[in-house]
Amino acid sequence: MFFHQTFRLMPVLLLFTFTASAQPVNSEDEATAFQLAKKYKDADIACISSYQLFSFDKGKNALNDKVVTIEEEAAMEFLSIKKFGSMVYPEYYNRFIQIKTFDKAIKFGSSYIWDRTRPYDRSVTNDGVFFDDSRVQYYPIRFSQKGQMNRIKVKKEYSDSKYLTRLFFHERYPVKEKTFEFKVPKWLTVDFKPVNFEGNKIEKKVVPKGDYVFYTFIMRDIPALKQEPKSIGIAFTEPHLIIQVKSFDNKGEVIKGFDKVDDVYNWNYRLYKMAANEPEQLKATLVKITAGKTNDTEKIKAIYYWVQDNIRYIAYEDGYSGYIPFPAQEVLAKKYGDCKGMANLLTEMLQLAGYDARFTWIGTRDIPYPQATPALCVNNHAITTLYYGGKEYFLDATEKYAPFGENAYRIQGKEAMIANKEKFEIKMVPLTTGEEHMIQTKADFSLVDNNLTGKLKIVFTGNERTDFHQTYQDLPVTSQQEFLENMLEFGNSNITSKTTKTSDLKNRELPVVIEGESNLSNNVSIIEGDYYVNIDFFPKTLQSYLPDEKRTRGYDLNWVTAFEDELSLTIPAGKKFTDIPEKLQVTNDNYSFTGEYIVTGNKIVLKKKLLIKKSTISKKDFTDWVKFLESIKSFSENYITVTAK
Amino acid sequence: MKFSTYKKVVFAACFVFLLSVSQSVFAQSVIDEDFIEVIEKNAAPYWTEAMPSFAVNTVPDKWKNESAVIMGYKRSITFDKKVSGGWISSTKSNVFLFEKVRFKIKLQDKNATEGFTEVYFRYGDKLDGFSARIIKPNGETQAVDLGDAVEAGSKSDVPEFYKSFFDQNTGTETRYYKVAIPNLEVGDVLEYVSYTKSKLNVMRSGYVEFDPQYEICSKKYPVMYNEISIDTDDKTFFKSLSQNGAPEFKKEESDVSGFYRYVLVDKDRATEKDVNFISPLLAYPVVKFQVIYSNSDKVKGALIGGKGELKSGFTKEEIAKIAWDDYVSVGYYPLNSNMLTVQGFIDYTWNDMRKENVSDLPEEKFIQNVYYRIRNHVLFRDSYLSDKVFAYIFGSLLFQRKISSDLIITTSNKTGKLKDVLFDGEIRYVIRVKDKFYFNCTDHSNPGELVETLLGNEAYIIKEPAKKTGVQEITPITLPEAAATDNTVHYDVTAQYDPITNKMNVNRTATYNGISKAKEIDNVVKYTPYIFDDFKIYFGSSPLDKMSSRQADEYYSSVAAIKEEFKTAKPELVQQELDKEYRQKVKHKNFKLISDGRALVRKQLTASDEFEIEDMTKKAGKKILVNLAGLMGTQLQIAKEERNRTKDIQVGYARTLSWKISMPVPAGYTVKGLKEMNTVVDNEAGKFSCEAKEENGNVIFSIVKMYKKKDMPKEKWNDMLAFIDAAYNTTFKYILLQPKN
Repeated sequence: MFFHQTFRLMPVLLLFTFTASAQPVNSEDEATAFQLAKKYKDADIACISSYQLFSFDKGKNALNDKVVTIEEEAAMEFLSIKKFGSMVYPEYYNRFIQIKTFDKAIKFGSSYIWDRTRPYDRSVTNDGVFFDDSRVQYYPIRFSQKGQMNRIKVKKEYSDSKYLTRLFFHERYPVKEKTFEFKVPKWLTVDFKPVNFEGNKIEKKVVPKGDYVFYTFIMRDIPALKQEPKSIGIAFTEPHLIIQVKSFDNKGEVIKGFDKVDDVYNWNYRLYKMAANEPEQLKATLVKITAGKTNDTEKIKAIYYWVQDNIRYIAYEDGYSGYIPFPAQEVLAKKYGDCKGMANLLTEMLQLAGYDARFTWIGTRDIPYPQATPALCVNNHAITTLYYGGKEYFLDATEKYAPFGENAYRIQGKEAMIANKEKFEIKMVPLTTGEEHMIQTKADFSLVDNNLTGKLKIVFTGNERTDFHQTYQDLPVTSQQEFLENMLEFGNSNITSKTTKTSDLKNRELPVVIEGESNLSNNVSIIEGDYYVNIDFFPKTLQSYLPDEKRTRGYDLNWVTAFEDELSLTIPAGKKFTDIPEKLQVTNDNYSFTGEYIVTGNKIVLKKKLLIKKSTISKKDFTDWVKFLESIKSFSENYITVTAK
Repeated sequence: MKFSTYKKVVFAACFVFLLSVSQSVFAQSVIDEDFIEVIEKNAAPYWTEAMPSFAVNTVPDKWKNESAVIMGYKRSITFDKKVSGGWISSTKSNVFLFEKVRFKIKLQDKNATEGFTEVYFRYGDKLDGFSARIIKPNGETQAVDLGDAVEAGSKSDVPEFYKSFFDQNTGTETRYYKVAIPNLEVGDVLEYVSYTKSKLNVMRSGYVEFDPQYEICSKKYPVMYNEISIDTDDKTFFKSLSQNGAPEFKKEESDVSGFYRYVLVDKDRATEKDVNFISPLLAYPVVKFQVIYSNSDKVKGALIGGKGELKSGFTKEEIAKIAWDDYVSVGYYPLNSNMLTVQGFIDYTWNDMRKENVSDLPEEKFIQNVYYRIRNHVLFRDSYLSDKVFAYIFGSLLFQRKISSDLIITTSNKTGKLKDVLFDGEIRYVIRVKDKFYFNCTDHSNPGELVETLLGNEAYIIKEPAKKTGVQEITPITLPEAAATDNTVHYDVTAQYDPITNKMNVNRTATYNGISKAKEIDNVVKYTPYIFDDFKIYFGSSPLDKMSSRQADEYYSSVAAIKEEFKTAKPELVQQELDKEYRQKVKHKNFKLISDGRALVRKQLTASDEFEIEDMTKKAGKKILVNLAGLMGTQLQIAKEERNRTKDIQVGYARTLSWKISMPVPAGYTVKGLKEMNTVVDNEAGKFSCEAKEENGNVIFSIVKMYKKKDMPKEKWNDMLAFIDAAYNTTFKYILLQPKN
């Protein structure tokens, strides 16, 4: 942040033309800035008031449905609480949300003057998306004096209230007071569902006024949200409102919105059906895919794997095309699609092959809401559910190299909304433990001079195996051998390995096995004839998940796993082991570690296992978590002494 | 079109934020259907052009296991001043660039298929054309439907093989579109043809240098056939030089009367691997070339050949003349956005010097004063001065005091020798006063400090050509070299290890000299307030002198605010650097800049850190193994795939790194393993030595790592490996603290 500020000062130094009177500061604002600066030490700018008023009206959406539309009018005042401060104020929009007016004003003394510059406008299409309609308009806000203020005013329209799903109180900057006000007409039934309000002081007011009821939610003294790597999503922890337009009266006719989960399903299903699939066009390909497959499981796998392997993930999300899947026959012809397109094709192919497959909506693990929440923010992904052999299989065609019957962790423990024509089912994708996703390592070393040489073997199972494939199979073929050797080198620059054998790496169902010969240098110190040896050469200390004292949010690892290692060292006859480390065992509900050295004659074996059972570490668990990591680190610092008998 | 080198990119936080949420700078929109029709129609004729090299659909066996193979890559560019640009474009005002590309690639694995999953094309002119197809392994050809194309993000998002070759030169806003290729599978061949027309307005300038091109023959994938052909009219000039075994451009008959054609063909080119100690332009086959538009055959200051000539080099007389002509015109250059010219700046500075009573300083002091004044100007610019501009300002200000100086020209040793100079921009300028050399300044350099890219270079002293004969005096000279003992970093490290807490407290003082200083100084002085007192070095006026009291108040408060921010920013920066250096979380405690190295009176750069580090010890029962040598920080490791060297070695500059590390032996312990630490490797390429001893209850390591030469033949690689490996391995060695009881 400083860098540009220094150079903003350059004209002062070079040209001596800086005028302090450019934006005179009101003494009250300056006093507020001093107060807030004490409170929010890391911030340059604070929002002293944020007010968003939502008014509801009736209208029609692009599908010609009678819907509730929303107008949002918002005003925010920003105050520089340090001498120099800069930020960007963004307003996002797309085909469903339009910005009508968007202005910035600069405060001179005690009055605001509108800035005539127009906001910047650009696409905010994510890296992984080929094309979408998400855009942003933004104003840069820059201050050069403590107490300077800017005001932002914006007016937006939601062409369908379904697309105003939730509102958060927290921002990237501290907010002194934030207000959401909803002007609800009598013809409208709407619910504002509070989420994570417990422990937060949020004032709620309901005031009838004429033909309207005003619902107001006010939160004060809101600290800035810090961007911290691998954080638990804010929807899990921070207070927000989910907006549910349940129904409205239109000239005596009650028109349904999202009152119950059924309403969401009906909406989803309607858009899904608009894909206009023509299964006949899939037949020829289906015949080729299933040719020679003699039983149902083989056929299902052949179809599932074919879609995984042959359909490239290319997301095209523009307006309703963000919700309506591409027709299955088009996905097949183009050999690309997004999650909806792939799920659609897979569902259609399985159905055409005679199986009970159904299109399914699901939210990934970074979304906390159950399907019982009637809102569009619940689901962000599409898969196929297959009913086969008396159970459900959740098939995610975007999840490359995933074996039939195993689910990606990102959808585990989540409720799936499974289409069944006019009805639907909600089923939970089973949650697995770390034991099912394991990396096992076995090493048998001998001491040769001051090197450890021997055989290494790694076995990947579960999602670890799938992760391996997703990396390995996507590499250039020229880099794959090197990658296998890197696997046997564990990121330790002192190991050189040569792969001697692997499992069939074309088979995604088998555990991945890599075997090789390795030489480990710089792990033995010879001092006065004794050898000090480290065989714990790839300790999993998870140091990147060790929080420092400033960390404000818990971790979301987004995986559960187990590392199980058996590492041995054989020494020449005539030598013996001393200084054998003590066993370490730490266990709790979320994670565990066991490490033990066992000596048998001239061989020592280190057996250790690290199990991560739960993928999140909350802030309140940090004390235990830090102790846990420190104990592993301490255990891994042990060297063994090899000395003459 | 010449460009300046940007040194500082000033991003506001807002842009940092937006980059994090946005990959696209420009509006994305779906392509207009009318465009598609025109684009495909315009491209259609190019499929039928006879190109035998593109008729092949198989790759050589030796490349069957490559990720992809470029089967053909042909770029044909025509520079035409005569053609009509339509009623709206006067033939007098524009040069037109017609660029035709044909590209064919076999995608042999998933990685390459995903990498080429989209095609990109430009539509900026009604004559622009594009068409793509895939060829299935069975020979079936499928056209790529452009109907679903959408606008691509910024031009920088467009992959290399789809970018218009000279797009950047014209400065015109052209839109790129992208389309996902239907039915693309591993094993397919992707092929496209494109045609673009660009125009460059030359009304105001009768002379345009298009960007110099350095075409490195090897690409990301092996290349079966690569052709570049340039057609120029009689207003356009062409020059090219091939180096390191690259094929050469050849002059051929043009199809069009009055045009000249130059063709480069490269075949059967394998890929190259990235390795340490290499300057790509010196190691890999490379073809340099440039197109220059000029209204006149004899353009003053232009390094061009004759009309229709394929110029592949210049004599020293030609280079010297051009350098001189360019140099003397520098005074008219604009220096900044306020339209201050270089000469204006010289006059302004000289005026200040007289007012500030420094114009009559002793000669040596005066020269230094001039240098620091120019440096102060550079400090407040967002780009560095070119060598030429610096030399002109410096020489001109010396001339005000009647101090004569020599103008020296040379070229960067990262691009080649003086005989290989092909572009104006490759000429570097240096000023010599008596026996002292003055190089272009950076934000922190001192008068006379050397520059890495010019070390030991051959150079010419050039004089003004004789007025009557035009003969120019050119005297060969060698620029100063710097030995390993000139470019040094010394670390004085004191460590205190506490066996009870298992923590090590470290005080480290680093002292930098020579090129080693130049490499580090930016980082070391960053977030220190050197900028506010820079004027004092040349006895200049304080910025406050010209301010009103109100402005002065503002200045003081601004400086105070910035210094306050430094208090947070500097520790954070040092923390990040330490974490990176030791590859672990280090607890930074204190930083002190002892000597900023920005003045001749404090030429060394010296700074100290205090930090706490944990992962430097291991346990063996009650004994403690201490990795004291690890305090050297991470040392270079040469990976196994680089241990056989096929290219000569460019180290950059000879240098010495040394460490004195000391640690008191903790009470209750004796130390062992010191003699095992002792190592000496000393050869022609370099040296590594580690000497360990115990003295007055302290363990003391004296460590030296020296790169003796800046360039070496590949045959010396094993010598390099020997001392580099010794240094790397030493960082993993331990001494033993044995409990006394």
